[in-house]
Amino acid sequence: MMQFFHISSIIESNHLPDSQLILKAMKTKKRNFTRISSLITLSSLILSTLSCSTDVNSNVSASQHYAYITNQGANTVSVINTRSNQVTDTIHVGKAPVGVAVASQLKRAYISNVESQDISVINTRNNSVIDTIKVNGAPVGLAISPNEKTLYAADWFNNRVLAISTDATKTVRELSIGEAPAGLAISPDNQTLYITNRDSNDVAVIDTETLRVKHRIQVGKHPFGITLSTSGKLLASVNVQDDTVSIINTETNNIESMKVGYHPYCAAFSADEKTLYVTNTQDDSVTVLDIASKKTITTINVGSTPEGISIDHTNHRTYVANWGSNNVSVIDTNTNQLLTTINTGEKSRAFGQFILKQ
Amino acid sequence: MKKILALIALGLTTSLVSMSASAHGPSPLKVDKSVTIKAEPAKVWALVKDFGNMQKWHPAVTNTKLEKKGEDTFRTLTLKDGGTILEKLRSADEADMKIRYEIVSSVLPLTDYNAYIVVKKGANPGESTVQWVGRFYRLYKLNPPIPAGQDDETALNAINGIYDAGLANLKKVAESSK
Repeated sequence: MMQFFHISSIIESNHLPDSQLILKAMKTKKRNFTRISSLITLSSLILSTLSCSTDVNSNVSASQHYAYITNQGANTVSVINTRSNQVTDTIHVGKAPVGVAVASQLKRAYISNVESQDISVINTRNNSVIDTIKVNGAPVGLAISPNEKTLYAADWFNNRVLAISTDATKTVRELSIGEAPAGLAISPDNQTLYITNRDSNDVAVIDTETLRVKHRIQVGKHPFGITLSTSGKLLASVNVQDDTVSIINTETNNIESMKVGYHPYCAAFSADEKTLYVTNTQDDSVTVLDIASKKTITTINVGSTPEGISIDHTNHRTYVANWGSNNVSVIDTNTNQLLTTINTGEKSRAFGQFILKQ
Repeated sequence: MKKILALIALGLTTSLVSMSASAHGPSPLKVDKSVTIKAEPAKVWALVKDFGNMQKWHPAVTNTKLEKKGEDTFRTLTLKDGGTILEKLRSADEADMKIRYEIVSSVLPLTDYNAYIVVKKGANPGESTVQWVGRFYRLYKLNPPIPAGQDDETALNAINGIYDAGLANLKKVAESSK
């Protein structure tokens, strides 16, 4: 059954006339023998092609990376192979998916569905939804601890953050936090959780053991996106209403504020931690910031209303989800030029770190 | 012409209909409308980019007042029913034939509105395609229950009405005038 759904979703996304014929045939009540037999032949053909392609994928899986892009208006997730820059799967999830977190070891992608108030758990081996975690609230931001033991979900409406055990998703701890918690990031040692609280203009620093607030860092107005550099030394909060990013040195707590474009949303650090890429939703652009000099290196025009951003460091590519134009812009991080644009789905958002290494 | 005002009014008064049983997330809303016009893109663009003269093509607008404040350009639209909308010009790009603007304050049942209108070559010679895309939030940003007239449906109805009426009349004006 599951496989059938998997097939049908692929069929729908590819619009193959033959396949549509099969679906139609499947729906008719009276089927004659020839119809059924041709259906079986065709289905098995498709099945075998499919299983072949999955085999191929898993054979080279060691070096394959994928971008999981939430499409809020389509209730789907588009999976992009970051080498070929093709959409390889479109997965139906809950209602109004926004946030995303990926667990490369567990082979899982977690998707927050704001309107169905739950989290879809995707098995990334076959890109099927295997579990749904109920959240009574509005889950937006998601992040997974580096050891992949805990999934954190920010409940925007109830001002709390949930800590969900990834091996027993019914095991949930929670903490109350500032107003409208949005973005989440976790230190490389799994000990510290950082949360942007949009309506209290701060970043809460949480001890993940006790789930207690250690301290709060005042940042700019309406912080939304948050990201940590690979080493965990630099933390960036993106402050939507004053068009800035706050870059915090997590060792010294020193804060630098830097101007970016109009209504910035999310950010991602380069592998060498020298550069920050920031999406500017109202400028349809990405600001490339030099952190040391606090100066803009360049501004790259992308699609309309860019929101989520993640970098595939291995392939030197930055992926930007464009809410307004329903696509993903790919930037070459070596040249800082736009490489290509990939059509995804209605209202692409991809809020969170969405590059899966498989 | 009255249709659009009726639509807005409808949206404001009949929000009882929109009983959003499920809690709404902080989801931005989008309206994306296009029209094909049998007129040269340059001609259509001339109408669209004229920020201070929206009454020339939008049937709900009776008057447009243009104001400059330093570097910034604003316009106040007066609607048929007397309501006003204050808008700020964000950019007008000649090469892309794209104008971007945002609402500063208005009588409309929405917040954080920004939009663009882009004119492109149509499928056939002498034809244009006009796309109008808006992004906004409903008026009420807090937790449900959502007060009547401040929900997603009401905001969407208002903008759908404005875009449909505007694009239909832009087509009429561009195709009839020389």
